Amino acid sequence: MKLQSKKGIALNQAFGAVLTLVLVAVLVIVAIFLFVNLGATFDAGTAELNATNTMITQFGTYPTLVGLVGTIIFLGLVIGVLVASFVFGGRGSRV
Amino acid sequence: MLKNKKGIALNQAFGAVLTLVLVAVLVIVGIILFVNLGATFTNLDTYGENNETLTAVTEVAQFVAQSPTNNATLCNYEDFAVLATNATGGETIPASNYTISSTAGSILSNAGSAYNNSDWNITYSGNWGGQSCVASDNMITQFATYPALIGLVGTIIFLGIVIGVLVASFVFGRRERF
Repeated sequence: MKLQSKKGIALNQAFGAVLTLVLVAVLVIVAIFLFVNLGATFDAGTAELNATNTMITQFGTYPTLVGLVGTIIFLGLVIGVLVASFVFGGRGSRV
Repeated sequence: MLKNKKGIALNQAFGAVLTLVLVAVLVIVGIILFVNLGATFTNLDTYGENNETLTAVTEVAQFVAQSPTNNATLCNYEDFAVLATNATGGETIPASNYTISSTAGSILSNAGSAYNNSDWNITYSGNWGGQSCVASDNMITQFATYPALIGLVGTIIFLGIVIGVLVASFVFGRRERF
């Protein structure tokens, strides 16, 4: 994503940023679903099944990280609007 | 583009609020998407336990250890099936003596049962949505925190509009376009 404002996120970038976040979130869920179904095809105790289960465990931690990214995006929006509105930095930025 | 750096100019208000509304709708659509996606994840994993002891089973429902009440990660829980035995005598308790909830993982003694208010051993099994369902629920939980942040952004926008109108109306700073 190309940030034009270095102080927070500009409001006109908000929709694209949140849309990207939603798409990434869906992708993580679909990936876990794929791993679960892939793992069901492997025999118990095999390296493939172990690797798949490890992958499911690792991807299972990503929803929390996606939530963190979203929180940072919205805080960036707050800062961006503040800077653009009240010139808290240099010349200010586009809203 | 902002030309007025003191607050948000009124002619930018509509665009700013419209963007906020679109972002808010997108968050809600995202949550709807995750809810519906999560609902499709059924029968992807199994649960079960042998001879779990429930103490003093009465006409009030008791939940087994692997039930959504006692383990919140067990989403899309279904097909709860049990075999109950008397913990004291070991004989099988006929199914007519109890009622189970297939989606809650609970069991209660029917009124008038000879086994009412006694300890039971429960062997049970069923299916649930697996890690895909857990990920969907976690994503819903994370996205559910965003409306409050969107509200904060909106508050800052409207305060900016107030400042912008005040500045433009009463010339609190340099000459600015309204």
